[in-house]
Amino acid sequence: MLLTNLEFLPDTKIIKHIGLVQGSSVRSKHVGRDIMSSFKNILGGELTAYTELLQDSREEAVSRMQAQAEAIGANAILNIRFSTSSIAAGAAEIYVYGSAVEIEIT
Amino acid sequence: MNLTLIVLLMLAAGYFIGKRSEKRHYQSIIVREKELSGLPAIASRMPPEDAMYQQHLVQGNIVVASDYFKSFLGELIKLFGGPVVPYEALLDRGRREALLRMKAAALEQQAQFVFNVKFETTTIGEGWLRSVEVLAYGTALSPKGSVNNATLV
Amino acid sequence: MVHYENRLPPEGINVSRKSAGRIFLKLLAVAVVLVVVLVVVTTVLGSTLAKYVPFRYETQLMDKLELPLRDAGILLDDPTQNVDVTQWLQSLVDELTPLLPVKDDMHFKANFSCREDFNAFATLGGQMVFNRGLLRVMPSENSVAMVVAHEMAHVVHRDPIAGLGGGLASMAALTLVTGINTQSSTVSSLLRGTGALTQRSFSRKMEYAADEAGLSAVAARYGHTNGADMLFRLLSGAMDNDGTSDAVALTRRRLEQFSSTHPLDDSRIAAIETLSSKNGWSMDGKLTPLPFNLRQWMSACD
Repeated sequence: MLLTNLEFLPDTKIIKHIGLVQGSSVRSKHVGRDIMSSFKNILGGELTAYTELLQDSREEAVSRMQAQAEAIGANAILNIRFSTSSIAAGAAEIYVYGSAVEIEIT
Repeated sequence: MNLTLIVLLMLAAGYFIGKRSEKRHYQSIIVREKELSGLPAIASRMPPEDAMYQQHLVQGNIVVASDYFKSFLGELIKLFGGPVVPYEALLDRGRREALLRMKAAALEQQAQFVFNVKFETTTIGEGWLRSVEVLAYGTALSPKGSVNNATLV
Repeated sequence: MVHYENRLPPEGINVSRKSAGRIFLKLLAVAVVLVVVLVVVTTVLGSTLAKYVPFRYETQLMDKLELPLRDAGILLDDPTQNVDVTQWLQSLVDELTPLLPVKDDMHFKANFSCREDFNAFATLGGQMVFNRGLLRVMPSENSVAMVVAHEMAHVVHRDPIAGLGGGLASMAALTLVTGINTQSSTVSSLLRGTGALTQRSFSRKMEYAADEAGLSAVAARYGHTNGADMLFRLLSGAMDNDGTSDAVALTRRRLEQFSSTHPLDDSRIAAIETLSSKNGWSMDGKLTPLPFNLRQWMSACD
């Protein structure tokens, strides 16, 4: 599955646009990590626990979007966009969406 | 003792009534998605160049409230970490409903496509009064005059 | 020419199929167990460490706090009033002191309060407070001596400072866990409530231990334990005689035992009987009457 945030692919012909696909994931860290991070907030610096959390979340969201694209018979997703929203303190939602397309495979 | 009872009642009400209304909402979403599947919503910014189109900015939004049970469970899950399951359906419903409302607005313009579809998500309220707003927007393309060469499958 | 269509993906990709109800029950049970464990560990840790605080620090702290607390009307009544009652209580304390396993640097101070609630308590620095509401219903000196010895035993066991240390430690731990990122006050108050219930089981243990040490001092002082269970008989009677039927009163008392700091009074009466027979203390004996002027002394409150 080809994933890109380009509008089109330079050398490849797009046969069909087959729909909007989306993936989302809401996750949180356990309270121990939250406590450690709150100490870190006094000193500043990278909150590795949350970097990891958002990255895991993003991976899951992308794989869910990919699962949707595969289910409707696409072989590429163009114009992918990410958005992050905080649904509750300490829990973040990653949302990703794009155009599922069928491209000519050479 | 009374407070515990109120909390239990609110949890039960949130669970049973919230579950039922979620089920109904999904039923209606699935039906309308099929009805509107002839109007493609596309994330791409490149519209077809084979015909003349009128452009309209269209949008659809919805604010979905979390129920007491969902918020309570969300807080509980946050103690342990991991996927916050109760909010998944809430956001999914919001996205799909916003998209459907955007499509309905596009249909009023006799649109054939909606291009450059984007989503915005905001949370409103604190604690158990939390709700999510989802906005879906895009550019609806309606054929100019009666000529239409674009292919609709 | 590119074709455009809108194929619908299947359900269930972005929404987990797990049952929310099941997750809820599981997490709730685990959370309650974890809070109980957390409170037990921090309370044991806090109270054990607190017992290492030298007794003289307790005394110094109370000396500093006494005046502000007295001014605020929180702690004790004016010691210059009710001198007679206070002196009598202090004489009981002095008689009981050699009969308890008191360490060298410990000392006790009896205080009398005009408050009408049925209560007595020991606090930091060997300070003990006895309310008028309790003394006015006591039938004999033996019964009062049991209450005094019980409170002194708390001091000997360092229960006030241990309770403070354990309470502070577990409160800090609970606040840390429930305060971070918790917006729903219901979840945090649920966890705090569980923590408070767990903590009370600690004070119940302390009560039984203080009963035991107090009883042995009373037995040594009077040669018998007659009248020692009066406190609990009065407590238990006070609950029975409020017009509710026996079944209702029993259920309510079971609930109260579960949530109360003090163990159910009937079980403490039974414990006193068991202890007396085990140690060969007679439960019959001549009761020492209360000072003739006690009621008159206490009327200084009015």
